[in-house]
Amino acid sequence: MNMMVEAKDRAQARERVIALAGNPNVGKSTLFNALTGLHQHTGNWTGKTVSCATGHFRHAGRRYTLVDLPGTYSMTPHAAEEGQARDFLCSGEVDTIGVVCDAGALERNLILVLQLMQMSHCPVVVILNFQREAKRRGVDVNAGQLASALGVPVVETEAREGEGVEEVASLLAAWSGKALQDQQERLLRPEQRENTPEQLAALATTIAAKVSEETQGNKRARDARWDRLLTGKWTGFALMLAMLGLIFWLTMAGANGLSDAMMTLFSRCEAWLASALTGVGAPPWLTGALLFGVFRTSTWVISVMLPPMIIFFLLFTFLEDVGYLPRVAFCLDRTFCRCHACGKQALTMCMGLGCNAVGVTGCRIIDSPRERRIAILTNSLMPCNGRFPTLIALIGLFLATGSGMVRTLTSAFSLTLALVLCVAITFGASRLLSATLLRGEASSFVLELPPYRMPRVGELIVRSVWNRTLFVLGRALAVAAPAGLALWLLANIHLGEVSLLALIATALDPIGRVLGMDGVILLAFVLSLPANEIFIPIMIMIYRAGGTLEPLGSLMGVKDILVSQGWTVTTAICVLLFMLFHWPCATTIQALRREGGGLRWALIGCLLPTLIGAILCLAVATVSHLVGG
Amino acid sequence: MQQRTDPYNEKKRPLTKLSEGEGGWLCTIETTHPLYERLIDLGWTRGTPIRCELVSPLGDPIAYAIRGGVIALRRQDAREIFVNDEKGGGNEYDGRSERQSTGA
Repeated sequence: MNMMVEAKDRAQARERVIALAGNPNVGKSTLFNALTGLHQHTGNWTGKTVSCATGHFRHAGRRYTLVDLPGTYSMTPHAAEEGQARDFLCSGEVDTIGVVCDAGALERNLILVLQLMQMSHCPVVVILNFQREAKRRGVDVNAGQLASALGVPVVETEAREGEGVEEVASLLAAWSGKALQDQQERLLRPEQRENTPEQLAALATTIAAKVSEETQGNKRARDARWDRLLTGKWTGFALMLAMLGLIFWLTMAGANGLSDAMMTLFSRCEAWLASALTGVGAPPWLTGALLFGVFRTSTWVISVMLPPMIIFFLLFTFLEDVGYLPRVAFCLDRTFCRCHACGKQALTMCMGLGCNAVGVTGCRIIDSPRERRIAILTNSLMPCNGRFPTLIALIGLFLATGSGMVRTLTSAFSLTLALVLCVAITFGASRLLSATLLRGEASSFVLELPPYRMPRVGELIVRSVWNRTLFVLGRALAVAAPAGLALWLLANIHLGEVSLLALIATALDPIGRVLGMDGVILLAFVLSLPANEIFIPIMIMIYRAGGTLEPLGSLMGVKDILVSQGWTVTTAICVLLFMLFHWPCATTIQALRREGGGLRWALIGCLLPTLIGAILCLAVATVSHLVGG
Repeated sequence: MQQRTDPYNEKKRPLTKLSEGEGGWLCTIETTHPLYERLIDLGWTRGTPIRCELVSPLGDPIAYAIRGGVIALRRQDAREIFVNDEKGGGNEYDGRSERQSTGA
C-alpha cells in the first residue's frame, strides 16, 4: 500500500494534503467519490476499500490532494495493518484529517475520532454522515453540541444524496491551511497524557450520550426483519442459492447477445483493416501476424470476456454495497471454520465465479494473513465466467440427453453437479493447505453486519465496471496481444509439411492420452493462458490445421469435428474436469503473485489446481479404460 | 482485564448464554490477547450494554448489537467474554481527570 504522496503533487507549490479517515461502512468512500469525481486512481482493485485511493478536488481555485485511508476501527499501534496509515498521519505530510462518522453508531465511531485527536499534530475535522438514517433508527445527534464537546469543527453531510459535500470541501480546505494551535478548544491533544483504550471508549460513551437524543424510530426494526429472512435456518440458504442462480442466469442471458454483437463489429473492423493494409502494400505475413494474430485474438478476448463480467460484477457489487454479503459470510462461516479458513472466503469464492483475478484481489477483506493465503490459493478452483461457456457447450454436446425440457434439465443438473464438486474440492484443498503449507492457529474472527443501504447507481457503475471489469480487461489484453502473435506464428510456420503447432501437439499427445484427452486439447489449454474463453476456438483451429481462429458457426458443426477427432463421452468428461481444475489464466497469475506474496506462492497457486485436475482426469481415464476398453 | 473478587464479577456469565434478544452489560474479556485488543478497539469495555441479536443458521457465529452497530463473533471466542445482568459500576470519564471511576 503506497501511502506516500506523489512527488509531483508536492512539487506543485506544496499542494495541501487532506486525509479522510473513518470506520468501515460509514460512507467514507461515497464522500471521497463525491469530492474527487473521477479524478482519482485506486492503483489496485478494491475488493472493499482496503487499498489506498488518492485523488484531487478543487476549491476556490486551489487544488487539494485527498487521501482515502482504509476504513478502520482503530489506529492503535498493535493493529498491524493500520501501522502504515498511522505512520502516514504522524509523518507531517498531512495538513488536515477529516474523520467521517455514522451518526447512528456514534458511540463507536467516536473512539477513532478521539484516537486521531490524541495522536495527530494537525487539525481534525469531524464529518457527520447518515443523520437522516440515524433519526429513522431512533437517534438524533446534535452536531453543534458534538462540536463543543469535542472542541473541533463538525460538519453534517448526506454523502449518498450529495448533500453537504461543498461544505465539507470548504471546511477541509480552510483547515488545511491552519495548524494544531488553531484548535484551542480541542479536547484531546498529542501533548497531553495519552489515554488508555478503555478510557477512550468510556469517553466516547459519555460524549455520545450527551449529544444524542432518542427519537421515535426503532433502532433496528427494518434491518432485523431482513436479517431474520436472510439468515433464517431455511430461508437463508434457499435465498442464497436463488440469488446465485439468478445472477448466473442474468449474466448468461445478457452476455450472449452482447458478445455476438461485439464479435460482428470487430470482424467488420478487421475486414476494413485488412483491405487498408493490403491497399498500402503490406506483405501478407505482416497482415497475417498483425490482423489474424494480434487483432483477432485480442478482440475475441474482449468480446467474450467483457459482457458477462460487466453484468456479473454489476450485480455482485450491488449485493456488496447493499450490505448483503457480510450476511453470507455470517451464514457460512462455520463450515469454513472447520477447514481452518474464514467465512469471508465464501465471498471471494463468489467473486471468483465472476473472475478469478478479481476473486484473488478481493481476498484482502480477510484479516488473517494465513486465512487470506488459503483463500487466494484456492480461488482458481471456482470456475470463472470465462470457463462457463465452455462448460455449458461441452455439457450440451456430450452429456445432455433427451430433447426440449429434459435436455435443459439434464444440462442444468450437470452444471450444478460441477459447481458442487468445485465447492467440495475448495473445502478439501483449504483443509489440506491449513494442515500442511499454511499451518497455524485459527485467527480471531470479527465481522460487522452493516445496516442495509441502497447504493447509488453512479457509484455502483464506477466500482464494478471501472475498478473491476476494465482493469481486468486491460491486463488480459496485455497478454492476449503477444499471445495472439505467438499463436499465429506457431500455426503458420511450417517445418516441412506440418506447422509448429501440430508438432507440439503431437509431442504432447502421450501425456494427453494418459489424462483421457489428447495432445491438441492439452496444447489448447496451454495456449488459452491469456483467457480461458478462447480454449474451444484454439482447439478447433489446431484440429482443422487452420492458420487462425475461425468463428465457430453452429455448435453441432463443432461436435462433428470433435467426434471425427476421436472424442468420446469420457474425453468430454476429462476435458470438463481439467477445465475446472487447471492452472489459472495469465491475469490471475499476476494477481496471485501480487496478493499471494511473490513468485513462490504464484507457482503453488498454479500447481494446486493442475495437480487436482490431473489426478481426477487420470482416475476417470483409467476407470474408463478398465471398464470399456 | 483485572479479575477482582468483587460481587460484580461473581454474577457474570458467558456471552454464549444470552439468548436471542437478551441483553446484559459487558463485564470481562478473557479471550486471546490479539482478539482482546481488537475488541477494546471496537469499544467492548466494562459496563457497555450488549445484546444478542442473531444466531447463524449453522449455530455459529453469533451477532451482537453493541455501540450502535452489530458485530459477529465465533462461539469459541464469545464463550470467553462475560456479561453481567446489572450495569454495575459507573463508566464515566470526561477526558480530563486521571482516573476512571469504577463502582463495585
